[in-house]
Amino acid sequence: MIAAVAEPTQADVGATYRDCAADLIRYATVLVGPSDAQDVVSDAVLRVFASVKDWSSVQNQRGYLFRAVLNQATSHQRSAGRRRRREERAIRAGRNDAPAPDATSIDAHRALAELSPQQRAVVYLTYWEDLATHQIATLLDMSDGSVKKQLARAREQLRRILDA
Amino acid sequence: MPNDLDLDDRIRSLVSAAVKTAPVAPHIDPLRAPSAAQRPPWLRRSAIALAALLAAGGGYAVLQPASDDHVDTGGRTPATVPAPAPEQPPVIVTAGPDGIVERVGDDKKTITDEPFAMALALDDGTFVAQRHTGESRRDGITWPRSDTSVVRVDQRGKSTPLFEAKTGFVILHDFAVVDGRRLLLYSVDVNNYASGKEELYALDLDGADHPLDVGTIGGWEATTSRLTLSSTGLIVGTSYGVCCQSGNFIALAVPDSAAAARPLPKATDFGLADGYEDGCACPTGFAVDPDGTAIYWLSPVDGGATFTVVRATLDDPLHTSEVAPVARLDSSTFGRMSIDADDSRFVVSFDSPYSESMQPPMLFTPDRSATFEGEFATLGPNG
Repeated sequence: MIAAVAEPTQADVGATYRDCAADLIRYATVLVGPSDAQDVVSDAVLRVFASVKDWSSVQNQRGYLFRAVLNQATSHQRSAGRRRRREERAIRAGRNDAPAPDATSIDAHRALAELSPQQRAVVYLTYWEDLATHQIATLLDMSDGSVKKQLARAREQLRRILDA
Repeated sequence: MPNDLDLDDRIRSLVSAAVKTAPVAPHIDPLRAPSAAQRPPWLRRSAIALAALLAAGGGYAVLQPASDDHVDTGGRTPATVPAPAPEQPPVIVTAGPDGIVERVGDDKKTITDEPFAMALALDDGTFVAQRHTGESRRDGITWPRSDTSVVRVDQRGKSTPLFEAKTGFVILHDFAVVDGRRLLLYSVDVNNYASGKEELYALDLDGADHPLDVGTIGGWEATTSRLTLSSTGLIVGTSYGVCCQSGNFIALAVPDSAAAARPLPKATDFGLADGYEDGCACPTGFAVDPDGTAIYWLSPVDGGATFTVVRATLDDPLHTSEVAPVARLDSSTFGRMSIDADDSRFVVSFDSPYSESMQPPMLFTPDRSATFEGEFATLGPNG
């Protein structure tokens, strides 16, 4: 009998994904909203399955998945209008298995939607994961300066929104 | 800094409110996932029939790519029967005399009916565009396609000036997020008899005062096709002598990007010639994918009567694969084609800043091809 065994890389990616799936889905929720978060995570991980030949050679595997989710989120969320249409479709179809959002959550997503995906990523990693600048830079493969710049712009933007 | 502390607390609460709406993480089955070696990239997405099934009580989503490459021995819990989810349709933006149009699958939205020569979609739903002003003359040269002012256009069609080059004509190339920087790639052609020079720049749209100078890409007798920018900072396109229809592979890198830290790819890496004779039916339309992992180009078939899109990864550049057929094309236009590629879909435009509009842009996906109204088409940002 031929045993069905996942290729080593796929199994390894799967194991890494399982370890940080809860973090990735929260991250994606901040990046694209609850309706699209599952799609973004699964598309990102499937892309990693399909494109990485040797997972063991990837030094920061958790960071790789976070970057893959960010890239997928950037691609996925092409326009506010498109996102809105998807949200509406999801609500109509009743297939959003996220907790029902309350007014505070809706306001939060609206405010975050004013940021670029990169700014959202940095905000999430700073304020939810409590990561330091250099840790975010390592995770997202950015320079420390870029992280600081994105965070400063995001804070300024959020200050304007929250004060309005 | 009590105000900053207060702001931090408020942002923390905001993020917390957003996070609590997170759905359950999808279960992804590595046994059923396609591997890099199993499928060409353009088949990958179409072969992946993602299933999104919500378990009745637990709100648990099972996402499973369909694959016939593995035998399920039953030794593990079989995935629940999937309800196929639609593949994410390509986002295509066209610009032309009828304005800017955004297409998402069958949805078509006219952003503005004001004529534009070129529009690039950004990651925030807005566009960077150049108007179509008809013929204009500058420095003794006729420029038939666009003016030199660059504007930002929002989803309601409202445009605001972005910048204007005082010293030459601006040619828009691409947009990508590189190392967290939202970069607009454009060139300024200072093309006069005294100083023929086309310089390539990358402008950080989040507030940089000055653009990064990427390098000189043309001059009095040279220019490029539209250049494509990847998230690694790798820039790929086709360079031409003004007199010549045949083009050559050109690669550059955004300063301080990941691509700048590595040797740039060369045509010979892919088994191609360094250069080609003028007028030959030769490889052209070079482009890099949004992830910066693969190069695409148009390769002639049957002496140039037909072209096909070829792909090679930077890791294995001599291993090329045909990824989409291209219809028979007018040989007088093929020298100026450019590709926008994203795994399974390709938009081919027939671009030239120097000549009147040409064949309308075309989309190729694994299961269909289409021709659009308008002059220039691009895919959504970063894939």
